[in-house]
Amino acid sequence: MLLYIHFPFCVQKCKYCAFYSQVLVPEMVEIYEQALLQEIDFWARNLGSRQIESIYLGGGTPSLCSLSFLKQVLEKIHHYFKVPSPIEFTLEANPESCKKEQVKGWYQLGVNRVSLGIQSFTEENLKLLGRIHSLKESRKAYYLLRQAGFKNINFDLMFGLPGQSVGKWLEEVKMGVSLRPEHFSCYGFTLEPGTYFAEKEKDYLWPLEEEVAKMYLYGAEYLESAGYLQYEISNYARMGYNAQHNVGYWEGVDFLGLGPSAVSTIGQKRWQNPPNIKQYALEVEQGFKGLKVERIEGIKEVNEMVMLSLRTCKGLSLKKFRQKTGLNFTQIFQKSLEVLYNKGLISFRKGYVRLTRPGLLLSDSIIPQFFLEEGLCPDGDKS
Amino acid sequence: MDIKKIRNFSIIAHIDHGKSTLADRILEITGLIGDREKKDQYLDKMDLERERGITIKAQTVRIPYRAKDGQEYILNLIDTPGHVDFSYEVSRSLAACDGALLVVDATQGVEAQTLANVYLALDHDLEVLPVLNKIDLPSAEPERVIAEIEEGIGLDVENISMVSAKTGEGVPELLEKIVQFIPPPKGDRDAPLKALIFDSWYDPYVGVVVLFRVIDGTISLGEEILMYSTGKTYEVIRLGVFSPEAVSIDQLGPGEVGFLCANIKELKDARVGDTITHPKRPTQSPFPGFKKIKPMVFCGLYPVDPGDYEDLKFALEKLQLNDSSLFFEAETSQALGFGFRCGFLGLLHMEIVQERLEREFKVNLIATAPSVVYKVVKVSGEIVNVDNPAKLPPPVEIAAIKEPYVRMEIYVPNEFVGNVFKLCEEKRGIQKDLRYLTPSRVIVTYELPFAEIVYDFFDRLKSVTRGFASLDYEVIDFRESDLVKLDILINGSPVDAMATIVHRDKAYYKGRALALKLKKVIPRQLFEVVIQAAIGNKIIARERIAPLRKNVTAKCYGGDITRKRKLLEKQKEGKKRMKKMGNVEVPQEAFLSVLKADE
Repeated sequence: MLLYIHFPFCVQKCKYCAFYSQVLVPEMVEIYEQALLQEIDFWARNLGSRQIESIYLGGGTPSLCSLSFLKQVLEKIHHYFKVPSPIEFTLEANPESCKKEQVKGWYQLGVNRVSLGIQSFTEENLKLLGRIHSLKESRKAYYLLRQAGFKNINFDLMFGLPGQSVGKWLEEVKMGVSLRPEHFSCYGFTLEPGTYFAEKEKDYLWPLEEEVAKMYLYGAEYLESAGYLQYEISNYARMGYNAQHNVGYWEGVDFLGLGPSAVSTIGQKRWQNPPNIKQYALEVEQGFKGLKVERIEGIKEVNEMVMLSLRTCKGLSLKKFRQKTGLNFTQIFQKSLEVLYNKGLISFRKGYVRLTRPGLLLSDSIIPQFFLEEGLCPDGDKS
Repeated sequence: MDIKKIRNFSIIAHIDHGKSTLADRILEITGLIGDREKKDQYLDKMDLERERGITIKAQTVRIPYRAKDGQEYILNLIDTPGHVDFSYEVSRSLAACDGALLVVDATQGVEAQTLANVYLALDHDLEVLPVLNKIDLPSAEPERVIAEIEEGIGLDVENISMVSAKTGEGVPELLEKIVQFIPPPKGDRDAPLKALIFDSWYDPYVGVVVLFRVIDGTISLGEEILMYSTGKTYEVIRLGVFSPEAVSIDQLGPGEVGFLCANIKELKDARVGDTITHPKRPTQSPFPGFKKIKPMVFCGLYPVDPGDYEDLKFALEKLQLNDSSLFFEAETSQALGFGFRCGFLGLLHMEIVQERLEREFKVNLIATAPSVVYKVVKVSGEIVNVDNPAKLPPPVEIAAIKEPYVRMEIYVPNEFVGNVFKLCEEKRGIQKDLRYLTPSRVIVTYELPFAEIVYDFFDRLKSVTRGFASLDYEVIDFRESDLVKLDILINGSPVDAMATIVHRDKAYYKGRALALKLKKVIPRQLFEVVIQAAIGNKIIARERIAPLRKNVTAKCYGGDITRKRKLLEKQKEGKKRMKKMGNVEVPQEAFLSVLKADE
C-alpha cells in the first residue's frame, strides 16, 4: 500500500488554492501532531503489519513540519509496518522553507525525493499567484537540495496564467530544464470555486483556450526533446524517475492517507478523514466511528480504472479490462473508438488503448465515453 | 320535476374574466358547497386547469334554489371550456342551455372570445344576461364597459348585473335574474326520448360517463338506450346528477340535465354532439350529429430516452381515453428514433398535452416544432395531406401546396392598432375589416396563414400590445401559397425533425436565423460541427461550431478520485439527455429552436 501523510499548515494561502489548509498556529500544530501519531497507532492495530510501497508527505506545506515530529512519525511507521529499503519517500517543499539544516535533516530521515513548489520562473507570476517565495529562493532551494544529496527532484510549474503567452510559458519551461531536475509536473491553471481567482475571474485577462492548448502541446514537446518523457497528463520525468507513488494511484494500488482531509482506499473501501483539524483529532480519539465508507466495486471500480489509466501515457490494458469485467473493450466501444481513432485522439499499442497528446487535452470529454453504466454490469460484480 | 322550475344556463367569458370564480360563488351562496369543502374554483378539476386559469373539460352542477317568490327551482349550471381550441365543445354545451351569463371584466372590457361566445350563444337562441364582474376593483370602469357591451355587441344592458364574484356582491340578485329572465326549457314528456350528449369522459372504474340534457321524453335507470350515430345500444346502469357530488336518480325528464353510465368502453361510442334515444321508439329528429373534430396542429413527440417509448405510448393512450380530439400514430425519425406524430385541436391543446405527459406521466419529451396540415397537389393530380414537413414529396412531384388560413379577430385598444397591423402584415396577413367597438377599442379582422400563428404569434401579439389585445380565430379554408421546405443539415446530414415548411420569401431570413440559433444552443464538441440551412440542394445559410480544444483535469491524485469520477459520470448522464446525430450531440432545446429562431 501507498502511504500518504497530510500536513495541513501553510504560512499563507495561495490565491489559486482550494485545498483545506490553515495558517500555522503552534497550538493547532500540537493538536495535529498528537492526533497524527495516534492515528498511526490506530491503523497499525486495524490493518496489521502491511508492506508500504512508497511514502508521500504532502500538504499544505510539509516543508514547515518540524524535524523532531517527522522523526517520531517515521519511527512509528518503521515500527509498525514493513518498509522495504530503498523506498521512494517524497516530501513536498516550498522554496522559501528549504533552509539548510532542514534540508539536511530530511535527507538524514530518509526522504529521497523532493517535489519543489516552484510554480513559476517569473517574479511577476509568483506575485500574481500569491506565492511568498522569489525566483532567487527557488534557485537557492534547488542548490541546497542538491548539496544535501537529493538525486530526485521535481519542479511543479503552472501554465495558462493571466497574461501568459505561449512564448513566455516556453521560456519558463526552458529555465526549468536548464536546472536539470529529474521530474516536472506542469499543471494547467484551474479556476477552483471559492478561491480568490474564481471570485475575481473577470478582473484578469485569461489566455484563450487555443493558446492554453498550445502551451500544453508545445511545452510537452519541448520537455520531451530535453529528455523528459511524458507519462501522465501533467507529469514528465527523465528515464527511471517516474513518481512511483503517483503511478500507484493511477494503477489502483491501495493507499492509506493520514492526517486531516486525507483520503484512503483499502480493499475496495474508501473514506476521507475530516478536513477540520479539531474534528479530525476527535475522530481519531473516538476510533473513527463516524467515518463514512464508500465502496469502490462493480461499475465504480471499473470506471475508476478506465478514468485513471487513461490519464497515463501507458493507457488502459485491454486484458485487465476484460479480466475485471468479462467484456471486450474494443467491441463494446467500437463506435466511439473508431471515431476517436480517425480523429487522432486515441491510439493502440501492445494491448493498450491510450490517448494521444491532443486526446489527453480532451480527456474529460473522451473518458466518460468509456464508462460503463448500470444495467451493463460487469461479470465480476457479484453485488 | 316541473319543467317550468328548471333553468339551464352556461357562463361564458374571456379567460380570467372570472367565470370559475362566479360559478364557485353561486355554489356557495345557494348553499351547495360549504366553505370547508370549497376549494377555490370548485369546477376546475385538474391542477393544470387551475394553474392556467382555464377550464378544459366541461363540468356541470345541479343547484336547488329557493327564489324570492318562495318557489323551489333547479338551476343547472353547465360549464363550458373557455378556449378557442375547444369551440365545438363550447357549442355543444350551449346547445344544452336555454340561457347564458355573459361575464365581462369591468376592468378589461369586451374581448375577442367574449364576442365569439356571445355569437355562438345567440346562434343557439339563448337568452344572454350580461354580468359585469370585478366591480369591487378600483380600476373598474363600468360605464365604459357597459357601453362596449351595448354598442359593440349590441346586447340589451337593461338587465345587466353588477357583481364581484370574489366577494359575492351582487350574486344573490343575479340568481333572481336567472330565474326571472332565462326561459324554462320546452319539451314533450310523452314524445320519444331525445337527449343531447354535451360531455363525456372515461373513468377507469365505470367506463365512459356521459353528460346529457333531455329534450323530449324520459330516460330511466335500467332502460335500454341507443346512441344515434353508432347504432349501438346499452343498458343504463347508473343515472344521476352532480350536485356537486354524484347523486343517483331513477328517472330524468324533459329539460333535465344528468349523467349516465352504461358500460360504454370507449369515448368514441359516446361522442359529444350525439343523440341518445330509445331503440324501440327512436326520436325522428335527432341532433344534426357530431362534427368529426379534425386535429389542426401536429408535432412529433419523442422520448428523450429511447427506452421510454412504451411509457410514452401508454401515457398517450391514457390521455386519449379522455380526450378523443387527441390524435397520435407511431412515427420514426432518423434523428430522434421512435416516437409519435400527434395531432391537436390547437396550440393550447398541444401545450396541455405535452405538460400532462411530462407532469403526470413523468415522460421526458422532445417535441418537434408544430406544423399545420398542408394539402399538396401532386403533378399526378393526387392530393395528399402532409402534417410533417419531412414527409413533403420531392419538389418535382409537387404541382401546388395549399395551406390552411384562419380568420382572426383581434380586439385591441386603438393606440396599438398600428403594431397589430405590422405584426399581421409580417405574418402574411390580409386585412379584412376594421371597426370601432368604442371610440378607444378596435376590432381588426385578418386572414392569416395558420402556419404563421403556430410559431410565436401569440407571444408577439402580447408584447406589441403590452398584453391588451385579445384574439379569436377559426380555420376557414386552404389556399395555394409559394411554400418551400427548409432543411437543416448538421455535418452534411439533413435532420428530419428540424425540417419546416416556410414561405419562399421568408426562407432566407428564417434559414439564417435558425442556423445562428442552433450554433448558440449546440455545445462545442470534439469535432467541428457545421450547421447548414438548405432549400432543396441550395445552401442558404452556414454556421460553424469550432471544435473543443481543451477539456482536461490537471490533477488527479488519491484524494481527487471520487470527486472526479462523479463529475465525469454526471457529464455522461447529461449527454444521455442529448440526441446523437452522427457524431454530434444535440440538446433537446435545439429541436425547439425551430420555433423560436426569430428571437
